[in-house]
Amino acid sequence: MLLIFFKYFNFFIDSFDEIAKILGFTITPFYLNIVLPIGISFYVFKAIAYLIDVSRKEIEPTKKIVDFALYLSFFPQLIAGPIQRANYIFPQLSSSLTPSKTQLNDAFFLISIGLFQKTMIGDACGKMVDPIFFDLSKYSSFEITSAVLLFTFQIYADFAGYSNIARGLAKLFGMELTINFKQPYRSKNVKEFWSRWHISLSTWLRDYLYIPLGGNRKGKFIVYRNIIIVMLLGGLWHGAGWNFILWGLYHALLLMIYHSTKSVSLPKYLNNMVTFIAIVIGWGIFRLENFDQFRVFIEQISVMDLGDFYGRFIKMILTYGGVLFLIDWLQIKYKNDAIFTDFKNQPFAFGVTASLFVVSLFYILTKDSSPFIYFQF
Amino acid sequence: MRTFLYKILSFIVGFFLITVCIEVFLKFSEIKLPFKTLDPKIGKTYQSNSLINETKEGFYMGKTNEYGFIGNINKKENTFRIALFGDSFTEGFQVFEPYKFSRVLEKSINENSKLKVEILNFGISNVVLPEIYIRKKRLAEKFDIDLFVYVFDSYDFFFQPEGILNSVELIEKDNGLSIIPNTSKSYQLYQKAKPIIDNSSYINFAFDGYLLVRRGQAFPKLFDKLYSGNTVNNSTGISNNPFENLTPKYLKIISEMAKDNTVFIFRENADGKLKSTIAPYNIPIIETEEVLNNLRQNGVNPYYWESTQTIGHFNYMANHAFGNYISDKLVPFIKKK
Repeated sequence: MLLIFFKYFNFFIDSFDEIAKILGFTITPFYLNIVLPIGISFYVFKAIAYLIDVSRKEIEPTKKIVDFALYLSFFPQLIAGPIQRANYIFPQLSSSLTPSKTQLNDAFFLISIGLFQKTMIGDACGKMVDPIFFDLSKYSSFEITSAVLLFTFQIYADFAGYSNIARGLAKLFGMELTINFKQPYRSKNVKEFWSRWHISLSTWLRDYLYIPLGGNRKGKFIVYRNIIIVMLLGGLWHGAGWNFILWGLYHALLLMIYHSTKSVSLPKYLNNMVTFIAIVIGWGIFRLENFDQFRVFIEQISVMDLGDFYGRFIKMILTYGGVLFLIDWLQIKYKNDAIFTDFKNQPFAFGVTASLFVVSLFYILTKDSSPFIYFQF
Repeated sequence: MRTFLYKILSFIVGFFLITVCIEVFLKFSEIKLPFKTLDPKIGKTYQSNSLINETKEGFYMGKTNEYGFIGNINKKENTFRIALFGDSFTEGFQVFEPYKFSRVLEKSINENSKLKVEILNFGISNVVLPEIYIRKKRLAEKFDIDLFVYVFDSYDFFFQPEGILNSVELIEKDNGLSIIPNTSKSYQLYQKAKPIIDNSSYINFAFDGYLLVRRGQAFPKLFDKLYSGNTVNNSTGISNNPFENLTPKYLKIISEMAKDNTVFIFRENADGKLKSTIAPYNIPIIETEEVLNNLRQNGVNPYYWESTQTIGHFNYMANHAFGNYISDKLVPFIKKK
């Protein structure tokens, strides 16, 4: 109710007004003049998870209000997750919260890597993506397509960067937060993507919505129905907008296609490529804020022109994508998001990460960094 | 001791190794392209055939020509050539080339009159009157210009060049003006390091940071809402009648500019006293407050960028309206040829 009131009330009224207009009715809509509390989607979901876990007797209800308050509002994860589960946080709160040397080292590595992802990839891509999407009519088909790809990098670098910074900050307090990303753009299919992207949200939706609805157990029709409901709500969770609903439905469609074709085997790299392209198209839908923008997008894309700078856009896409995937590759190779934890030569590792940290500060100083995308959700 | 030195060395090696990688990344990603330079003759300018990618309020991509400005240098026959001078507003690194007011102006004159006009845009950011004059003398005069158009803000007439290194200086000499090379040690040092400075994205990044520190903008930007710095000093240090009492050097610059076919365009309005000071030189003045006010009355702040929610240079609508407005006003001066 809290979420509906703050986040969706005006959206529903607005949509109702639009439908009424289409049907020829004139109504005077009543809008709430309220400010959306920052991070509401995240802490409401945490509170719901706690209540359900207690009612399912999976955890003991805490008697310490301070612990509960800290669980809900621990600052590194308050406004953009990861959406923590009580059974992961409460045991930590009952131990002494003194950071170990490894935690302190990891904190520096994670914060530096996260800051680099956020500023040098996320923000830098966003600086080109935002003006292009704001006025699509002024850009060529190729430039718009490039903007969709750059947004694909931006949203990942921005959110994964934030999650790394949040995990690093938590470690400074002796706390551990769950991993929220596992190199999602390397997924072989859409189902795998959702087990690697915003893991804390997708597992929440799985545990508290999909499985209680019946999950995979009650026949094809019920499975498809469940997928649509879960992905629709997952889309709507991101914000009160038709683009998010469409994005959710699009992913539901992809998941249904996956379920009906999973017996078809393709070479691994083809699977990766097809999945990546499908996800990129999804991000295009996600980024288009209204139907008018959607119309201009289609119009401009169908012109099929390259523009003056296509070579430079290709170079930039390869550079940003290359660095983003290089970080992914290193995280897989060293089996750790902090990458350098087990490096034998720790001073070298500190030199490397200090360099990432310094250049990120230069960026913040000279280029005006943008707010984290997921802060608005 | 040996272990300690090994650790320090390892740290330095790690730091510099990644710094070199970042240098490559900055260039290929175009986050920071080093396109500015100090030319020994022109002063502050852009490098020749250099890529530009600027993302401040808006988004701009372009490439300089072999002379270090943006535009076609081969004059077509029977074409009236206009040189446009000014600061970052004229430079227009916020919108793609066709949407800059300089291009809107060119297109508008060519479409709405029987004239054939081409515009060379010599606009460059962070310049004031003496630097603009040097740019005109040492760069623009090479290109057979028929009309010199200067886009000013009133304050350009008394602000002094920013006290940061330049390669040339404008001085008064023998009752005239003379452009002399900078012989300072810091400039000599710059010349030695020029190949690195002019080509390194990282150093340009650091230099931008240094400029912000000098201007006192670094900490508020870095710490954002957490910064509670010194109380802002509202005193601008501007004398009571700055526009009445322009320096002799600035008056000489105006006098020199008046010798050519010249028009002054003022963003918004020219200060009344400044207009009186300029009046004896018979330079036509075009004021643009009317067109910008029209935008405001229609709910458009000409300096507001909705996409980035920032206030800064002309947005798309302002560029369009400004270019069209000054095209009508400039046509009479083109016929005078």
